[in-house]
Amino acid sequence: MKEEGERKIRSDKKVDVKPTLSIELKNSLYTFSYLCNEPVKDVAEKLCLDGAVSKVVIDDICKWFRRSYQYNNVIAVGDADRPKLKINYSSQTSKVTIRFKREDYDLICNLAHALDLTPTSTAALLIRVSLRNIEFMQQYCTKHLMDLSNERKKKIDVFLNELWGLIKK
Amino acid sequence: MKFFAFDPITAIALAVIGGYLTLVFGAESKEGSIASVTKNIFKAGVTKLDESMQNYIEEKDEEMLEKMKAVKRTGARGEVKPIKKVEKETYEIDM
Repeated sequence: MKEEGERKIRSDKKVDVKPTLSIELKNSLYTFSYLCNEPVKDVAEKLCLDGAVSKVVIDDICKWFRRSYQYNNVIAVGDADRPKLKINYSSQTSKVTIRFKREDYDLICNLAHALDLTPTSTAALLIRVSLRNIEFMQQYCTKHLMDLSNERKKKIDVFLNELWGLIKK
Repeated sequence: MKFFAFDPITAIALAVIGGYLTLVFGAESKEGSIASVTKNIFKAGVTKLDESMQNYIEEKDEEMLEKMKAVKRTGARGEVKPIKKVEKETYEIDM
């Protein structure tokens, strides 16, 4: 029974996930979100959700699957004999806050189950892999950033090329 | 029907035995007899066959050797194929 004065919990309450990232990765994420004119938590959320159902990203990380993972009518087969993925952090780390809807959090949980990691680590892994994947970022920009000005698009292009090491800083 | 007072089967048997004895013993004693000539022809035939067999084996040997050389020569055109470096699966990621 609810006590009097206790607030009702929203049925669509979002779930907080605070992945730990290296300072360099966090800086990249902040710069990218600034260039996209969007809050960091929104950009991180989009990267995670798009990455979790993206063929290119899943192809990248499926070598670490310890259990099978299903997305978009595709099953990536896992192998329980594989060692668990170890995430190495640099000396300086920091957290970002992402708020997922319940169904989106469940998707991340499914991926986390396949990877045998926590949902928080999975979110961090998705941000790391998504940002570094050229093909995925091209698809992401086409999907989400077409409304930006040409000048801004050019800046994003230069930033991503620097991030991928195609252009020397 | 009778052959020299023998029935046909006995006559054939005697002829075969007689022929055999002529070939075996006749060749030893008489030079130039039919048996001796037959024996020499047979010996020459065997020697010839042996020689041709030997030649055939040698020819085949050479042929096989050539084939082996050809395979070696044609294989990757005499160049050593670079071994593809298989990337070792790493189960670590740096953030």
